[in-house]
Amino acid sequence: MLKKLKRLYVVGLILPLFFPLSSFAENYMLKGNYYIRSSADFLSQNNKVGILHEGSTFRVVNRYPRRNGAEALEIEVTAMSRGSYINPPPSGRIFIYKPQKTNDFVYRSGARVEAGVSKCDTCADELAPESTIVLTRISDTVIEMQNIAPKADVKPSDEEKFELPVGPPVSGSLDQQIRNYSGSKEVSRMIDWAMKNKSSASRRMCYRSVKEAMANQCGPNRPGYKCRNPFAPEGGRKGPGNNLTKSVSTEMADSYALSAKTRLKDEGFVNLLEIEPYKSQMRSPSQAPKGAILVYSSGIPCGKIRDCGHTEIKTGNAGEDGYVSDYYSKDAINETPRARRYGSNYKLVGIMIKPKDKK
Amino acid sequence: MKLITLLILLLFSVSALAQSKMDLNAKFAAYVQQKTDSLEGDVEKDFRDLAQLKLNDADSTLIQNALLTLVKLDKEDPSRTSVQVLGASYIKNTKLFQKAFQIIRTPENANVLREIEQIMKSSRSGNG
Repeated sequence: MLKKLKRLYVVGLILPLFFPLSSFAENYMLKGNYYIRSSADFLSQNNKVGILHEGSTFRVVNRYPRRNGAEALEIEVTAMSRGSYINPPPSGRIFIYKPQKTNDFVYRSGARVEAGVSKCDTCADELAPESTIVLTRISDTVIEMQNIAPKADVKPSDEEKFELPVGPPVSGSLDQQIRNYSGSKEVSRMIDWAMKNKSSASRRMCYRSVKEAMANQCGPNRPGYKCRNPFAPEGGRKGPGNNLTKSVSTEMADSYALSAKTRLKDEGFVNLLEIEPYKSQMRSPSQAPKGAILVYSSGIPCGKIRDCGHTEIKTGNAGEDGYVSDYYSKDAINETPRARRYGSNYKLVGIMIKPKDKK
Repeated sequence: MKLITLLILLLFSVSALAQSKMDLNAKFAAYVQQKTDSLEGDVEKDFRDLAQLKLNDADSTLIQNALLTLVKLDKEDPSRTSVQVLGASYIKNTKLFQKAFQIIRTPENANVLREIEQIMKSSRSGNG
C-alpha cells in the first residue's frame, strides 16, 4: 500500500514536467469580434488596446465576476485571426468582456493548442511545444499564430476599426449609419412628436406613444390617453409622415412593449446589443445613440403575457440625458436615483436603430 | 397522525401569510407617514410582494395604505412602475381595490388616484 502511494507521489511530481499548467487552462475560440482592454473597466474608452476578430483563440488566466452574471476574463491570446491586433498593454495584462448569455465564446476542451492543430492537416511537423509562431487552421479559417505583441503595421486605422463585420442586414460602416440615423430628420420628427405628446407621468402607454412618435400618426383614442398631433394644431391624426416605421400605431396596438425588440427588426431596425463591438460597449441606456428605441424586460405581467417590458426613445446623444415614451425623464427607467439605490427589475434588452446610409 | 401534521402545516402557512400581510401593512403605513420627498426603503419590492398575495375583505387597510403609498410615490417616480406592479392584483381583486379607492379619495389626491386606477384597469394591455 505504502509502495503504491510512493509511486503515485513520484508520478504526480513527474507529470507536470510534461504538461505545463497552462495547458490545463480554459481555452476559448471567439465567434464574434471583441475589444481587448488593458483593465477590467469595460465602459472606459481609454483602455482599449486591440481587437480580437472571430476565429481568434485565447486562454483564460483569471476570471472576475461582474454584475448580472457576466465576467471579466484576463486572457492570454493563443491565436489571432486576420485583422486582429493587440498593442502591448501598460499593465502587461489584457481583458475581454464575456456576457452572461453568449454563444460567441466557444469552449475548446483539453490542451487547446493541440485541438486547433488537430484540424491542420499540413502543419503537424511545424508544431513544437516552445514555438509561438505556428500556422494552423481552425474552423476552415487560416489563422496565423503569433506573439501577442503585434507588428507595427498590423494596427488598423480608426476607419478600419469601424469596418468590423458587424452582422445582419447592414452594409458599410455601421458607426456612420448610426450617426446618420441619429442626425436624420425622421429621428428629429419622432423626438419632436414624442416630446409634445408626453405627460408628466406614465399612463402605461409607453409602447403606443413610441409607435405613434415613430409613425408621426395618432392611433385611436383610449380612456385616459389622448394623442395630439403637434404638427397640426387644428386637428388631424397624421403628422408630416415618417418612414421609420411602416406599421401605423393602430396595427400594433395589442402588442406588448417587449415585443418591440423583434417587431422593429421587421421594420429594418437592428439591435445594437446583438452586434459587436456595441454589444461589449453598450452596457447602459446612457451609452445608446440619439433616437435609439430602448427596449427593456420588466418581469411585470399584463394579461397572459408574463413580461410586458418597457420602451422609450433616447432623446440625447450617447452620454447625455433624456428619455421619452408617454412621459419624459432625464434618467432611463433602470437608472433613476431610486433604481440605482434599490435596484431595478428593468433590464435593457434592445438598443434598436435603423441603419441609414444618408441623413 | 398524518391529518394532524397536515393541519399543523396548514395552520403555520396561514399564520405566516397573516404575518407577512401584517408586516407589509406596517411597511406601507410607515411609507405614508414619511415626510421626505424621496421615500426611504425598497418600495417596489414591497409592491411586488403585495402583488403575490391573495387578498380578502380583511385586507382593506393594507390595500388603502398601499394606494396611499402610490400617491406619495407619484411625485418621485414618473414611470409609475409600482402602479403597474400592483395592476395584476387589481385585476384579481377589483372590488376590494375599488372600495379602497373610494375610502381614501380626497379632493387633493382625486386626480392622481383617478390616473392610478386607470392604469390599473388597463393592466391587461401590453404597453409598458
